[in-house]
Amino acid sequence: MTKPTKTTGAGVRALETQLRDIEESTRTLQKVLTTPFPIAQTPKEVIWTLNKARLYHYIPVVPPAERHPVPLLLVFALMNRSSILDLRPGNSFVEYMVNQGYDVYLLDWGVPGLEDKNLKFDDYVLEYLPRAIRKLKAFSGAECFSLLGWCIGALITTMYAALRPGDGLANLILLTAPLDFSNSQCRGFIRWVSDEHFDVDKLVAVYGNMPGELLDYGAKALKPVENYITNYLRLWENVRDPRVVESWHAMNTWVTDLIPIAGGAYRQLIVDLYRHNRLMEGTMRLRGEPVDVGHIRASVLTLIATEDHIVPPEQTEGIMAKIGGGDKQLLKIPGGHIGMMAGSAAVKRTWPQIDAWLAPRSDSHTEE
Amino acid sequence: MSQPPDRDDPTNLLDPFGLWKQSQEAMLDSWSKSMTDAVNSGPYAETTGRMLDTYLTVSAPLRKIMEQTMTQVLGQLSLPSRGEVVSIAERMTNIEMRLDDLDARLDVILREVERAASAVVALGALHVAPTSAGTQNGAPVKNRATQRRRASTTSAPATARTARGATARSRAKAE
Repeated sequence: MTKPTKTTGAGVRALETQLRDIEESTRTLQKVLTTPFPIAQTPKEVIWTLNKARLYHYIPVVPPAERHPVPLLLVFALMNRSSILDLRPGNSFVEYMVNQGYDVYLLDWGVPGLEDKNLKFDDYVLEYLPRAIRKLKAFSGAECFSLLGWCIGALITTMYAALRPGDGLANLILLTAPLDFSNSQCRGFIRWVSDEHFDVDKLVAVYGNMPGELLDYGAKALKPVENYITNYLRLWENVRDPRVVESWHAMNTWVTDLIPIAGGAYRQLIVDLYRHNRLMEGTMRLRGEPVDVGHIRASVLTLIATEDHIVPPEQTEGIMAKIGGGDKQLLKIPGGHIGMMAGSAAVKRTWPQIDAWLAPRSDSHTEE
Repeated sequence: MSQPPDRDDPTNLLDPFGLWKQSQEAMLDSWSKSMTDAVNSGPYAETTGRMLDTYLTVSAPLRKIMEQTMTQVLGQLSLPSRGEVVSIAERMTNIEMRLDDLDARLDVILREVERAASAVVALGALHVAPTSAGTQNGAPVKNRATQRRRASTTSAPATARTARGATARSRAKAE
């Protein structure tokens, strides 16, 4: 029998270390994929509720005398949770804005049930949002306010700004807003939802609401290799870097928390906007009222993500020429639909630009 | 002594892992581009649309039968059907709207009461100790904009704010 040499011993030890590393990595992977990350941690209070909707007020950390007097209301999309705006401590837009001295509010639409299947943009724009704004004004004591809408939230806030220009809206910030569907050949969902291929009425009749799983499939299928393969490969490659793992875990928690869209609103999105481009054509009506974006009087900042595959830049750019009022600005930020605001670079790239634009406009409205 | 292979150097032929990773990246990139082009094409939209349509056509009658059966079973057990629960939820939302209208009116009343109370206090102060212009409660008046800014952040009287805070806390607790 031969004695084990020094080299063989070192080899075995190295193999053992590697096996331990693989075991540890697999455990981390399992934890990340099967448990939720504690997202949306910035302290807040509920100040208003209606049906599933909630209006949150974030507890200010800056003394009142140093705070911006114009409150900021955040409105996220109808699909997915609004917690993306407050993803994790140190990487939260809400936390950042609270630290910059803004009085921040967030309108969370909640999860629609079957009883909400007939809710339309008419209800969100002219019922829920104005009521939440009324409560915000009563709570803060401010007469004017700023609105920040993201994705479908930007569509809702745009229509609100057009229909209620005299309601105290001072500043409107639109992030990756799907507003202009004139280019039917551009990337994104527009080809999939054309009336030749997609029977939206049948879908809504069967499900009532548009299921979150189908929305999720649609969003991921637009970039299948990135979402189904590369995403997990990147995690595996960086599984021993706690910062990357934490970031991935938080994002995965948000991405996998799927919620449906009310059937009525979904149908309107497909038929009135994607197919007939009613907002840009000037033929959009909510509860009989024509929605004319030329009536917008607030200062407007529009942010476009250059790599956005869900709302391609051309679905936003056209709105700038149609908006009334002179104080408007368009910013193009490198990044994707979500990464632009929630990616690790957002804190250095996107948020400071929003703050730089909003800060002077959040002080001036007290001095009439 | 030999140097360890430089994994970042793409030309390093002695590092099989580096080469493998490089080729994997290149393959994924090209695969990603071709797949993205494919899903953005007309034939893909047509195929997925047809598949979804077939699924909905097949599943709709099954869902209907299931729903009817469940309604009958729940009726036999004296339990409310999904339709009845939905109807109650709709009525609850209408009640909430009415409550919100009342809340709005209450806010208006509170604001008017605050204004009236401030006016009474101001009048009382004038009668008790009339002050010269440019002073308020004996203290010099500072920048009006600063005053308004402060008022906008602390506009409601302490009692109203406390009451609102308590309501918000009780709602949060109830949730």
